[in-house]
Amino acid sequence: MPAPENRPVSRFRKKSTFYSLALASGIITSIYVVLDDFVNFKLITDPFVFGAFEMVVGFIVTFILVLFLHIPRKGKTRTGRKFNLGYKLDGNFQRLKLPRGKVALYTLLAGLFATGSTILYFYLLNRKGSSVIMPFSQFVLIYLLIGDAISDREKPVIVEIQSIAMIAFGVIIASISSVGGNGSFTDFLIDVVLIMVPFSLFSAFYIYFQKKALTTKNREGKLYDSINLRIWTMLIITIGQTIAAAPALSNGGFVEVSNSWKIALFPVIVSMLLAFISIVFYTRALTMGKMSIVRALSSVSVVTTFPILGLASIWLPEIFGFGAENLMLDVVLKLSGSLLIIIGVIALALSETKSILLVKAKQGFAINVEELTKMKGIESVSFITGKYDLLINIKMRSIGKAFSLVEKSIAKLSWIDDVITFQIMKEFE
Amino acid sequence: MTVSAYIFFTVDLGKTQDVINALRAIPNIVNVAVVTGEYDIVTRIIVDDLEELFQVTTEHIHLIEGITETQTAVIEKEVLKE
Repeated sequence: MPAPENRPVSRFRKKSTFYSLALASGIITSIYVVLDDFVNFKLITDPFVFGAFEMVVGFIVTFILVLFLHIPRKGKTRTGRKFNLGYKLDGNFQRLKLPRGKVALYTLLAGLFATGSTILYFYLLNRKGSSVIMPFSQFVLIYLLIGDAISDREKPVIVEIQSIAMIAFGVIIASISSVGGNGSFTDFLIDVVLIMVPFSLFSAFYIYFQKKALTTKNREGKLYDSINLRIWTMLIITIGQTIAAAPALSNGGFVEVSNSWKIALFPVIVSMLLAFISIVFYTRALTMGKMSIVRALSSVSVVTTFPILGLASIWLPEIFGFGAENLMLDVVLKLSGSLLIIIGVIALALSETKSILLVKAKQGFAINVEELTKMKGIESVSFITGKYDLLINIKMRSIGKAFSLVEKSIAKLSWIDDVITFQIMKEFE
Repeated sequence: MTVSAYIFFTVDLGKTQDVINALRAIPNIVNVAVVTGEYDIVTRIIVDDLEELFQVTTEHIHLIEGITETQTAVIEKEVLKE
């Protein structure tokens, strides 16, 4: 029977799993950001102290949760090892273990960039609240799209430029409602610069190194898992956040925490458990698709934050409440902005074309498969039996780019005798 | 150790959708692609061994109405993108 990662087409599709994980991650994110906003506004007001408190509690809670994930379950995986609860969350999870080699380096870098973005997250949350953080934090998408374009080493096609423009305007429109009104223009500019430059860049590098850590095989040829990645990056964030909070802690922060930790503990635990689930879903989606698409799908949190804020305002109008006039304006702007982001992403995702190439090698020439796998756009190369020697799967942004790849790169290899191309019109995975 | 293979199909005119539906109902088939060119459909199949490949192709795939020709290419080795 097919391996788990190659599910039959008639069952749950890989694409559906990818979209579900990314979307669920976005929805859960909006819940825990609103919870953080509540604790920060009501209980622990200093952003650095609150951040350190949440990360320390979060690390302990996540560590206990990960220990629970070691509980064995009936049955064995196809590789012969026993099932545990963690396997359900991530098929690569076996047990808590320290990363090694390149994976350790990528985990460390992911942790350091995550520390930077987390410190800024708490600082900005304190300055502006969750209704600003959510739309503005989507700006990281632009960096990821540019990153994807650079890694493709190709000039962007028109659909990529259109999508980047739509997403950029979407982010700006979804953010407008929240930045108008209160605060000076200088404050607004500080927020914009902080979000667009360090916050978004740290987030983009964090995502990049997470993906690198999860897609790099160790010496035994095994992949790292999102659960271990989360716990070790959390440890680095907790240390970094605590160091950042040290001056504030000695300056009255300890008193603030000791006065309110009992009330703050429950929402913080819930928030960190949700954050754990969201990030595991998110990182799993990262291993299945492009960084920019995953981030864009999880940007649904911009939309979902709004009804959650609306519900929260019924119980806590002093924190989350807004006037009826602003409500309509905010709904229209956030929906318009989010729609632009989503349309931009869909346009980008649909613009990909896939082809299958059948290749015949010249008699007496050695096949150098590395020459092929290094080429951008080639997803896999299979040695096959029959009339042809190789089957190549390619994925490009346009048919024109696919033609360039075949004509200018593949056909020029000395050992290739003949290539025939099949353009995929529709595919069921 | 499983065996993977690509199967190329030519299909009667107007029968493509029926053939796709029938192929998607076979659990071993993990990917179905409708293509332009010499063939109409390319599928990827994963089985336990060559015996099972023989069984699935002869007892299921070859019985699907609308398929005029099949060609099976067993994957000897697969190299994924770096």
